[in-house]
Amino acid sequence: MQKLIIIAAIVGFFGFFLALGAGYAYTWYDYETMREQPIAFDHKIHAGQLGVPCSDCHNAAAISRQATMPAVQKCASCHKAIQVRLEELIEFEIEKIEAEKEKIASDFADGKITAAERDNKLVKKDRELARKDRELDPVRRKNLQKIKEHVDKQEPIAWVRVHALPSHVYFSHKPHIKQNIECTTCHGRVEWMGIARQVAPLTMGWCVSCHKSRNAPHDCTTCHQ
Amino acid sequence: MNRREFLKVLGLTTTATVGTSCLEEYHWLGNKPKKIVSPALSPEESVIPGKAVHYTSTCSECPAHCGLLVKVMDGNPVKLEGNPDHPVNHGKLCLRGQAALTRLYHPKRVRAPQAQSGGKWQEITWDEVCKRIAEALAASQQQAGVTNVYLASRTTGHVAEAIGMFCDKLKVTRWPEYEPFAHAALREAYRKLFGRADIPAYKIAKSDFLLTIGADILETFVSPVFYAQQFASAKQDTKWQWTHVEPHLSLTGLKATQRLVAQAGSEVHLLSFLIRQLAKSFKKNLPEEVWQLVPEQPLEKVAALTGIAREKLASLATKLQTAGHPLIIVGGIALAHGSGREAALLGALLQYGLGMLGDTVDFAAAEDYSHVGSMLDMQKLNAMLREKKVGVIFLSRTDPLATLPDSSQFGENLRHATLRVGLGDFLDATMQACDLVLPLSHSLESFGYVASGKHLKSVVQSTLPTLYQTRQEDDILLQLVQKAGEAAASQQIVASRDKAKEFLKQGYVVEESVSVPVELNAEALVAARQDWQVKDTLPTPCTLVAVPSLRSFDGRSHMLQLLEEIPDPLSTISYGQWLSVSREDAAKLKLADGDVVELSGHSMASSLSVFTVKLPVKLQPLLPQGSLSLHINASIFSKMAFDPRCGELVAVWEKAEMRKTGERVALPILGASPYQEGRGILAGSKKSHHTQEDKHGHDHVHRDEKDAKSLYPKHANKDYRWAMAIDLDLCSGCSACVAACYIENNVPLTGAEQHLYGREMSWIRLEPYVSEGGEETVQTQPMLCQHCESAPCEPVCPVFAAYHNEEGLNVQVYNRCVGTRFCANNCPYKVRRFNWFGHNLPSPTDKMVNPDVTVRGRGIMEKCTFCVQRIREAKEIAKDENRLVRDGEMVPACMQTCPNNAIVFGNILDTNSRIYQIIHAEKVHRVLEEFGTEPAVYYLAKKREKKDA
Repeated sequence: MQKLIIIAAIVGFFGFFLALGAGYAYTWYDYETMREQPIAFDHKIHAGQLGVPCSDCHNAAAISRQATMPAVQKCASCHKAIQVRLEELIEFEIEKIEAEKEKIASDFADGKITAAERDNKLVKKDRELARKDRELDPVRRKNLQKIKEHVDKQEPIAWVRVHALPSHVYFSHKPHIKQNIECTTCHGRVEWMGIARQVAPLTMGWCVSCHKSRNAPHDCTTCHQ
Repeated sequence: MNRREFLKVLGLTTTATVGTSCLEEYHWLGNKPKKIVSPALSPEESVIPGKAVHYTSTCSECPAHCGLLVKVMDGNPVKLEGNPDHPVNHGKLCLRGQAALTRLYHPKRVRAPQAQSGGKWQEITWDEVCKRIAEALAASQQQAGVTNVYLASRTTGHVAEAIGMFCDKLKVTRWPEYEPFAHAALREAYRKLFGRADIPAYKIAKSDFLLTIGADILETFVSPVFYAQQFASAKQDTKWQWTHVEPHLSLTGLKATQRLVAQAGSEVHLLSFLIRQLAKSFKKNLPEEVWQLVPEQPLEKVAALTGIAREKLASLATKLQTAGHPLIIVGGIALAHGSGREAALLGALLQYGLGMLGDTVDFAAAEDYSHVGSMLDMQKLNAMLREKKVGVIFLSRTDPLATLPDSSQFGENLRHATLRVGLGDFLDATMQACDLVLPLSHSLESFGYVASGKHLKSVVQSTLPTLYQTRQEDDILLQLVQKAGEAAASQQIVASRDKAKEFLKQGYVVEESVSVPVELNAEALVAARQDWQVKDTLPTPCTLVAVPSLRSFDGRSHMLQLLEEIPDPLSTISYGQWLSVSREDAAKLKLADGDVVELSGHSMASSLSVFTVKLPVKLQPLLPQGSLSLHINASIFSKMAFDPRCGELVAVWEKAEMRKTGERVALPILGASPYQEGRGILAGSKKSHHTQEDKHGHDHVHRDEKDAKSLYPKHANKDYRWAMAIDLDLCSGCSACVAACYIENNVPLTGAEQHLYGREMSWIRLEPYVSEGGEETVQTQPMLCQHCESAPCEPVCPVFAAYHNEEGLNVQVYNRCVGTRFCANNCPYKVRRFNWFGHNLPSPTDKMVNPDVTVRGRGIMEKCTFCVQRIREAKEIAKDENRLVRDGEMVPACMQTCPNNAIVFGNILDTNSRIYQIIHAEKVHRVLEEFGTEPAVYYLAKKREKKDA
């Protein structure tokens, strides 16, 4: 009996620390992990390829503490003008090719062309069709469809917050932008990222080191609210 | 306990503490992102997340209707401030105004229309509500002799028009509005004498001598913030004099230059004496018959009847005679007794005789009480209900069940109505007796306007979409009118509401008014002789007076916990009810604070008003001997009778008796002692036991900066050294600053139980101290973190959570705090507050949280920060413009709301700032200065003297 108690005590003792470690590991938060977003917004295309400035969408950064997320209508308005038009064009071309295919078939029925000629022409047209279809990327279409749904339902998109600060921290984008700090200083090269993720630790030491190096105020009340 | 048990307990508590602390917000596991950013679909241009927007609106917590600027952040109103331009409150709010926000977010608000069937509540739709009301209205119109009644509390503006339209079109009788404190006697007097049943605006700032009889102008009388502002500006003139006459002890009385204690009910003798004395200097001639109403009485007799010394009576008459612009306000407790109507009539007569009408008494800017009735109307309604003559009854924003006397049996009689429809925001006593409960939107969720005065319209603006399925009153009526097929009327209702759009930005509009000369109707006065009721009774040994509470007014604010959490400024009791007794009476019965007494009261005015109640007592210094006072709440209302001649509530019981029961109740008395115990806390008081130290060569009292010896090096200030000056001559103890601080800084509410342990959380409190030396008086002194130059709290913090920053602020870094409480122990001012528990915020109160201030968790020490978040904001604006913060730009929440303008805040490094001028030009006092703490909060001495003079 006594032996059992001793074993139980030892197991319990080590088990406690194991459980603690397991709990720690389970709740471990790796800030660099990419978060899944409701819409796979690609910064690589927008900020990278197209070169849209950050402040075009996060437009309150220079005037408010929050950089703010763009309204759904903002996404929709751009895409209506560019993407949807583009898609319409492609669809129009697809329709044109389909019509041409039909014409080839009718030409053959009328005896204007031979079977070999018809097959040759149809293969060419099918290749053209496949190329056009490829231009209509399914992921992109899905995303656009989602945006359209949000607009139709008058529903905001619930983005998952990437850069979160504890509630006892006061942070404002405004003074940082006023000091001409680049967005990339804290947010990394978002234009290379695709879906945005956090690259800087956003810890107090990290903040203070930058504040000190730039001779910015580093009294506790500057950030602790 | 042996060693083993001790270790066991220690181990268990440590594990429990560590275990539960993981659940706190600041845990060592890091911050997992939980929040989602969901942008609005099409954000309005003006609404930027993270930026505060201010909307104009109007406070609806009492009938004064102060103008508001509502601070809205991320779509939620988070703070109410006064509209600086508004003619009523000039940017200031009282504590109830500050707490109005907690009504909006109150978890117990009714969230959807409900119907009661068989004692059970069931949610129904608005369409169903309309259907049921329409059917019931139609049914009762078929019956002969049955009336439908619409009873509301005082309503002005577009809702009043909507009610009028609704009642007109659907044949509902619009009953005179019910206000428990309707100033019935006063209005009746003005109606009789001048044909104006209104309450005029009393221009205190214009007067050079003010005599208030019973009217608690700084607490609850008509428009307290307006009068506080008037008081503050009148006080600028050092020659301005104010005498207050009262039977008990009130904050208003303490602020007067001279406070006279008169026997309750004897005010009418005082007034007739004054009329007789001043007859020669009357500017208007009174008709001969009038003189029969005011019998000539010898000075000795008046002195005996009122209890005021002869010389004081004589000097009062002289002061009135010599004043160029005298002002007399009779109201409140002076009218709430058997001869209250007479006192009101004589007061109005005196105002007329001394030529105050049109000068200091302004009927042109009168409060609109035209729809308000009195207790007599309620008596009529009660009789109709009893005789089953009422069909559908609408009870809007009113709680007659809680405020009418039990003897009226209103609750029983209400059952005879065929359908009871309650409109309101809480399931109070009246609403629970209703068949249908229609939840009303808070004024911050409504749109329209109210009338703050007869010619002053003030906008009510919605600052957020309705939180629940509530509607504003005129919308409900609109739907009913539409259902009845009255299209034209419904358009009119909408049109009247839309008038508010014209003055949305300014928040108010003053309409031009033509002042009509007021003439005396002597016939009516003479006719009043028929039931003239003045008794020549000498002061009784024990008189009980019940007065409206500063905190809950007529009971309409009783559900707001914040107002219970803030202690009554005179007794420092937070939760519960108590009876204030004088020190002499307590000594007679050997009573101590918390002893329960059996109190019985007999009123001379009405044989109905007899009651017995058990209450704990609180000793109140300066309360006159033989006077017992308590605050009116539902249990007192149920025992009050009214004057059958004018409908004024009787709140004086001349024959009161008190008997010790031997029971004791723990009262949450937050002030340790009403006396300074020789510490010289108030400005101008003597230090007794410290003077002995002085003999030994420690001259602590007037230390110059040169002489200051401190172990610690002096702090260097860069651009700012923030400091505060509080003028105790102006501070009335109204507690508005406390309420503002609670809301601004997310200060948690702890509840009655914690208060008994002394664990209140307020960052600023009012300490009522009996002044020592000279005439005894009570002075309330706001006590907040003194932001000492050599703060005793700083060096004892083991983790540097408390430190001194370069702006002179004594900063507390919350997430660095480990909760040793050494700092609180070392603070001589007892201003540091410790979070013994985490305070959960039940939904939707979490929306009220000011996002600029951290919500502190368990085990954290907190205290006044001089509103560091506002300093940060002001500095940010200044930095944008490349300058320093200007004087007056940085206003902490307490100063912002102070109705008496008693608080000044600023940077003392700026020699042009107001605070610098005050500190260097006037006699200032710092609390417990002899400790060498060098506080940054300066108190201006009660009797102000210029330093050089």
